Amino acid sequence: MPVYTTACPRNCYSTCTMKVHVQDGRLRRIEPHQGNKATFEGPCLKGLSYVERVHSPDRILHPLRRKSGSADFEQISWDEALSAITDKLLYYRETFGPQSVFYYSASGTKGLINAVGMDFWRAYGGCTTTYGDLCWPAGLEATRLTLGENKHNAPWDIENARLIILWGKNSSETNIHQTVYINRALDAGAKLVVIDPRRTESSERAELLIQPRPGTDGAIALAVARLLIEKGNIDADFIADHVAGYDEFAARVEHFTAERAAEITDVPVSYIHRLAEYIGTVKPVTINAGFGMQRYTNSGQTMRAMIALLAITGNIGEPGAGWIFANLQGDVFDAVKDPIAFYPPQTPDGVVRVSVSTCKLGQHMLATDNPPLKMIWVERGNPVTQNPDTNTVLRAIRSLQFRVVVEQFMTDTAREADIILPAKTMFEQTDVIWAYWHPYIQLKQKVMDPPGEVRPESEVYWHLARRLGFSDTDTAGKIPAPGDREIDAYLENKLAGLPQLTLDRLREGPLIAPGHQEVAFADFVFATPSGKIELLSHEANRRWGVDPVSDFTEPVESVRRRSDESDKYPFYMMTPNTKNRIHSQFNNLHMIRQLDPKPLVLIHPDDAARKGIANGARVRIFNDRGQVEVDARLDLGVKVGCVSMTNGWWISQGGTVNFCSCGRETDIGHGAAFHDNLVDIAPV
Amino acid sequence: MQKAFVLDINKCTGCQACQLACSIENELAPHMNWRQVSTFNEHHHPAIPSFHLSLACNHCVDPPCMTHCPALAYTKDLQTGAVTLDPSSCIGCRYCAWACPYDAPQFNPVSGLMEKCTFCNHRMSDGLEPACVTSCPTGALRFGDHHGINGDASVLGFPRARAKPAIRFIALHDGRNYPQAASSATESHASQITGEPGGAPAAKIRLRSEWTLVTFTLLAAWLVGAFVSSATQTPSLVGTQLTGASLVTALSYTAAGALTMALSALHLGRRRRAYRAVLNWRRSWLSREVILLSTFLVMSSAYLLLGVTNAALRWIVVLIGLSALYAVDRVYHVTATHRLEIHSARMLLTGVLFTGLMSENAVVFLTTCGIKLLLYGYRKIWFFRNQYPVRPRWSLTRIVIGLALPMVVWTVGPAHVLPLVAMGVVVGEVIDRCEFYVELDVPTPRKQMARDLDIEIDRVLRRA
Repeated sequence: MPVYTTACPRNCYSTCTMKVHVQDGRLRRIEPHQGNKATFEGPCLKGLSYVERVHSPDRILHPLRRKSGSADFEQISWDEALSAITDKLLYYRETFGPQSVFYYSASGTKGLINAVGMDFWRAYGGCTTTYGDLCWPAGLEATRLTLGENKHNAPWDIENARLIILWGKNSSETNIHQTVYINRALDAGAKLVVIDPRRTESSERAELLIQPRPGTDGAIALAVARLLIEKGNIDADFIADHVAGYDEFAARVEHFTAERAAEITDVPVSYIHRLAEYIGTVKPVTINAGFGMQRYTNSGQTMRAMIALLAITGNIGEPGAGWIFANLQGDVFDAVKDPIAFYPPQTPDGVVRVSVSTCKLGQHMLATDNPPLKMIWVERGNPVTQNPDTNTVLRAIRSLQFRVVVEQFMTDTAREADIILPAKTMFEQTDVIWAYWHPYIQLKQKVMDPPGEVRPESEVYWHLARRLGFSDTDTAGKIPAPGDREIDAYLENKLAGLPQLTLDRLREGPLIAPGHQEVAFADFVFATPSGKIELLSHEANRRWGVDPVSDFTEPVESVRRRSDESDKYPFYMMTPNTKNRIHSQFNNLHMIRQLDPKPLVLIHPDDAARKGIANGARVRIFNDRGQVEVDARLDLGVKVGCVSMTNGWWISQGGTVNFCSCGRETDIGHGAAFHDNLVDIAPV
Repeated sequence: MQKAFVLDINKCTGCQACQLACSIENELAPHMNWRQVSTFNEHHHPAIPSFHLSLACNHCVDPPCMTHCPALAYTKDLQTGAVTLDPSSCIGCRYCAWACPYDAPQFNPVSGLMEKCTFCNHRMSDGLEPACVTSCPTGALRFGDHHGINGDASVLGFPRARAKPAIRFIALHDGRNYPQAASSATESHASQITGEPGGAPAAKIRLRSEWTLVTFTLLAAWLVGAFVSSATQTPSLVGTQLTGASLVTALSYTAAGALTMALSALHLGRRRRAYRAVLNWRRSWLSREVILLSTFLVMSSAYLLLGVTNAALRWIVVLIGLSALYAVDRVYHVTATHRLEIHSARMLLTGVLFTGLMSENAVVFLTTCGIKLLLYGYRKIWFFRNQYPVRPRWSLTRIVIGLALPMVVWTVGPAHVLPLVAMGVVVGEVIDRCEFYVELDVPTPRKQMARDLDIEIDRVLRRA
């Protein structure tokens, strides 16, 4: 049975290397690959389930066209599909200009070949597209502003930490391979503290679980900073050498007493003292911040305060110490890295209009004018389910004249399409990927031909380019012709400047990105304007209008901001990820679904009693933006005042959480403030 | 060398990759899972740890599935200790599922056969570990030689049994059992969380699917009672003319006997292999039951059809009949039902009751009724005290119609109402036997977890 080395290209920390056994054109089995030190124990359940996903009877294998006036689709030939799309593209370019076409792509699959899409639209004459990101901008920008760069110690280095703080991260579900190294640290005597409004799988082995009211983490960080300074548990030498703005920061935290933070966060004072004592007396400290906690309207400032704790205690640039958020050391391909790469260009080029905030997708699509949007092309994304404010997103997509969706399965977004093009899986076209946790560059190898009439997106673009009469100079090196050799050539070209990385070497296994720093900032070089860690950032103020020193303000949606809204909607709606999905992927597979058959909302029994909700009862979660109806599950681990439902359920599977979320940006970075989301809950 | 699984409870996050890896490796049907992950303290009661048990077959040193399988379908590999099931020998009787406290053998309704974890013996012969172990992303599930591995033999939520399961657990580290958090434990919390959004896990033995067994066992008792009462040659309700009986009566008896055996085969997944049920007569009470009961039915029918009058032979057949009923009762001893030994619906007792009824022997009838009344009443009081469901309406019906009224009417009533007494008795026995099946309790990890969690909650509350 042939065995291939490949890697999982999902939007996931782990980005596992794996061995794939193929037999008679079928994926037979997926096993661990020892070549990746971060994921050597093997892929998670989702990775294993590719065995079903690739061969699923539900997979879309042919181009489909909506039957007019119907919710049903009919199979059409590629020729019909491409003709229909070409006609529309010519018509819209002619009549409204190329920017009436909206190109929406998301994080469904990583890879260098994804760049073909934007190159196609540029050759077409332009398009409208999105800026910002649903996932991680506030944290990326806070890190960039403070440390100059988004990088962190190698994943296995957390084993050297003596204090690990998982702050809003549930590694056991979202980064399971990290638990291997956390366990080693714990076995060697390290302490684990988890800060999360939920008692999660990751908090089970923690000594201390701090459950703040959602969106108030910044107050904890500032109060802990004050205690550290008050007790002299700071590293004065480190501060003198490497920190800018310490005095301003110290002045800021002066009035953040533990008592005040306890009052704000609804956490016992003693817990804040204990956290400060741990950080002040144990070394080295690693703080690993998750993504969920930076999806509030105040979270850029929150993240800056959290990094400050490490800066004033000298926990940066050492083994076992540091700030883990995102490791972009693997991104050796982009001249401009995230988060800058997804900001709108300061001077628009007049070709691609980067004007729709992906966080406010529906609102901005509807408001776009001159020219208004007429057509959407969606690939690698499921915006109906995953972008905030589903009702508005649906309205915006339905207001268009023509919708093309490239998909593997009949997602909520695919259901809105006029034409669905069958999408490849990761096993059907070779690509090169990097990861944002470990430093490996990997080859996501083609191990089988696409089934049915599936064509990789690059081929679709190539055919469209020919039909639209693009010139060779438009396409040369940008839109590879169909064929494995052409794809290899395209990738070799992308790797040209990196002699360490060749396709042949990558076929054997993952390679550490050139220039990788095992201990990030070990050279104490910080690419900030001052060259130091900036607790005072003028750029933060200039670019985002926030206080140059981190501060705490309540999020826009908060039960402590007295308003009609907060009176009407007294619950925080948390919408975390689950081990069973990457956002809205995998849940349609039988293997996964049997483990997690239907959406549930978790609620504390005290809240449930107040609302007359029994375990298992049908409930409605709602606010002015929308509602979702699911079954309730009583959980003593959820903080009182919060309800929690995992995101990623399709509407057709029982309802997306984003009916309730608001299209709103984080304070910095153009991120989606999904979690500023007050709701009420009632039995149905 | 006996191999064993090792599960580190500290490392298992309940991710279920092992479960999927197993299903993929062994190409299981979509509805089958040989390995299952259960969670202790899923609702996160404070001050109680939450953890997971990933369990498949524990390839016991003394495998109860193998001991009790009537068809000799199980074998234990001497090289690895793997307990495997030969699908071509399995009759789909599900008795191994009753015998296994770990929920390892699973019935596949499509194939009509039992299935279970094979220790991935096909992989082991290639020098590989079981797929679940290879695929565990945290290294929580390991594999090694049974002797010489460290770890505990048991853990909270793991059913206690004498099977010597080949699994070891690395217990939770002290001080990291559960996180200290601000929420408090109150009594109201524990009581509020009842029922599950997905519904309770289905019991392994359910009355609805076992009605054939109810009918089969009661018919068996009736037929034994009928023959014994005829053998005692006293006037008999049903079998007045049984001895030297008319051909019609003898034929009806034989037909009822055939029906009884047919019923017993009805619940098999593979009825055509029913004959295999006798193979494990050395160890399995199920085999013994089948052998004794069919021997009894064949001999008693022949005795009646051929009009034999040999007293010695008659008493031998009676003895076989009573032994058969004893075997029927012993079959259920593999389960962990409360107070099984003194259950009022034991078939031997019921057989004697039917004998008393049909032979109109007041002493036998009234004594058995009295014993049943005591046992039934005692059980229900015990249930009531221990918060098991009592089912008062059924209990009352069973006591009044099935025992009290028959006893009263028998003692003071006119003789011609005896058929009514008989009907009452039968109704009562049917209720009791149905309850017997409802009460049958096969331990599973999930049930053990629920029980152990209740104990832990009590302890935490007492401490508070």
